[in-house]
Amino acid sequence: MRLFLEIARTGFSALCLHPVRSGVTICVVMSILVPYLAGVGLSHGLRDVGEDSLRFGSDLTVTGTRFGRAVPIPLSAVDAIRRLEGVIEVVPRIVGALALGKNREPAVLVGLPRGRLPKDVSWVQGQFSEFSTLNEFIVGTQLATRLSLEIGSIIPPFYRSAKGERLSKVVGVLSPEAPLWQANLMLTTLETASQVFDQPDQVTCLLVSCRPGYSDQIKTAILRMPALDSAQGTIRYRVASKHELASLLPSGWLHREGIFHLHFVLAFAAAILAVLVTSGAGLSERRREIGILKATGWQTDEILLRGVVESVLLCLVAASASIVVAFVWLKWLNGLWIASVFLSGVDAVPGFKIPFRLVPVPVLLAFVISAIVVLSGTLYPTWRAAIVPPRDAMR
Amino acid sequence: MSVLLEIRNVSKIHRPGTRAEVRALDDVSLSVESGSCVAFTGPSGSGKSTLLALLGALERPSHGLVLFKDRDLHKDSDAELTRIRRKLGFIFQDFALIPSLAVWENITYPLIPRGMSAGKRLTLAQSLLDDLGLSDKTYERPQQLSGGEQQRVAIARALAGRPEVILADEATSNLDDAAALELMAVLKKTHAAGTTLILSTHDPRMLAMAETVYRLNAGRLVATNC
Repeated sequence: MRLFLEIARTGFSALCLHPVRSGVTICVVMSILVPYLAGVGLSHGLRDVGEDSLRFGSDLTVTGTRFGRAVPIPLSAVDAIRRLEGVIEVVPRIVGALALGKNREPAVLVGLPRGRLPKDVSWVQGQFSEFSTLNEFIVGTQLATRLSLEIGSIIPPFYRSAKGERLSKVVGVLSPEAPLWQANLMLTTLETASQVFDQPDQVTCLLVSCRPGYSDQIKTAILRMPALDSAQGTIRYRVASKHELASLLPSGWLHREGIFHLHFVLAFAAAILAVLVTSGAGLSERRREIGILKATGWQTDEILLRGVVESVLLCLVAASASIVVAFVWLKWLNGLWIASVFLSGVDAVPGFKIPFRLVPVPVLLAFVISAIVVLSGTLYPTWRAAIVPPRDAMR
Repeated sequence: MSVLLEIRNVSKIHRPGTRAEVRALDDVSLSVESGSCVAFTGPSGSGKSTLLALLGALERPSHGLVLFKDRDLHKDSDAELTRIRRKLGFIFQDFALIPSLAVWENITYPLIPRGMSAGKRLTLAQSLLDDLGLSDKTYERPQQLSGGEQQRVAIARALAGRPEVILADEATSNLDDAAALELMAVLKKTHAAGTTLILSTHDPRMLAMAETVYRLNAGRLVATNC
């Protein structure tokens, strides 16, 4: 055992004796592990946000369809649904895409009834509690940054409706601490949103809250309700329960993460080659050192043990450093650049606090990946040098 | 005296079957008795270093037998050859010190797999360095030493394992006169203590130390001076 420990100790010494080689190997491992950990951490953070939105969201989401496609639903449906047994409340909502400014910055306009707009919420800055007039908006952090908007800013006309063009005013800016979905948001009243999209008395969806146990019954009742008549024709109801939306969440999340993992596998293969190349940079020195050890009485297995200890220490250092750097990247650098890879429309420097969560499995996987990369990149050349006659290795 | 090392009809061909094939040794036979001092000389490329490497179990012959105490090294496994190397001390022409290790570590690194503790190794290294006049260089790196000092460290490493045979390959070729004389004094002292010496050299002073001198040319043994 003492002999084993003595030889193992030489592996530790070897790590320190070749600082450049060790440093380069650690850097190569970190260059693949840090983006991997940051990406997976970000992906889990996004999943958490999605799950939170569902958890705190309505029990049923009612939309209209025509020819199987989503269409606005008339506001008259609100009263009809409200009368169903077990319904607590029905909130109409307008959600639509916009483009603002000279650069056509994408934005998501959300319109809610006046009473449903946030009041005294810590992540909204500004005196917005009274949406006294039309065309007042709370804007998301990233959108405010991109368009240089602040509280009191006047937005030039960005839409044309039956009532003509109007100036708009920023009455609040969402805090960077607010959840992810607010980045490109424009929040306003239902009336304003209706005017912006020029769709009077219509909304994109109805959010239905139900008494416990009534959700399925209400969903069935809504689907059995007669189709709605509108100027464009008959509109049928489509109802999605919280559970149905929850079941859609993993598929999107897994799809995104699957693509990320695929890219990572390619990076992983490249990293092994990179470690082989970088270890090859010092290979002649390493071969000679191994040749000297063999010539002076070291057995091949003793040289390999020394190499294993050196490699294991290298991979532990590399994986630990990667975890720390990934955490710093997500926490303090706020996912600089990598957030834009995962979130379409997000700037390289996100203007809001990005969600992330480093979970145990990828963290443990980081150690395994690090071990595979380092061991295959360094142990193989060591073994090759150790099995040739010492005189050849020393040449 | 008994025969310690013997080679019979040994040939060594580098890169066989290629255009760059080199016949480094061609049908060489000789024996080295225990406690003797043998030297090989000859022009560069005559096969001296290859012969020393074969005797030192650093490589295997292409043909023929290399016997250590009547044991055929050709048949031995890699692990067994390494065990035999522990009974030999090799002094290389280019010193073959590990630049990243301190002098004392270079000297005693071969003793780590033999189970000697770090404390004992340090004591042994200091004792050898005292004998070789390098006691103040214990913790220095090889590149901080002169050529002569590095060669003495290489000798200390060869002596550290208490070898039965010391093989020195052109040990004085990189040294000035004073350093070469110091080296020879150490080797003489070691030989006087009963260690077998096998030298490869051009240096007439080293050749004068040897009881038997073999002359090689183009891989063949051309003369013996006993």
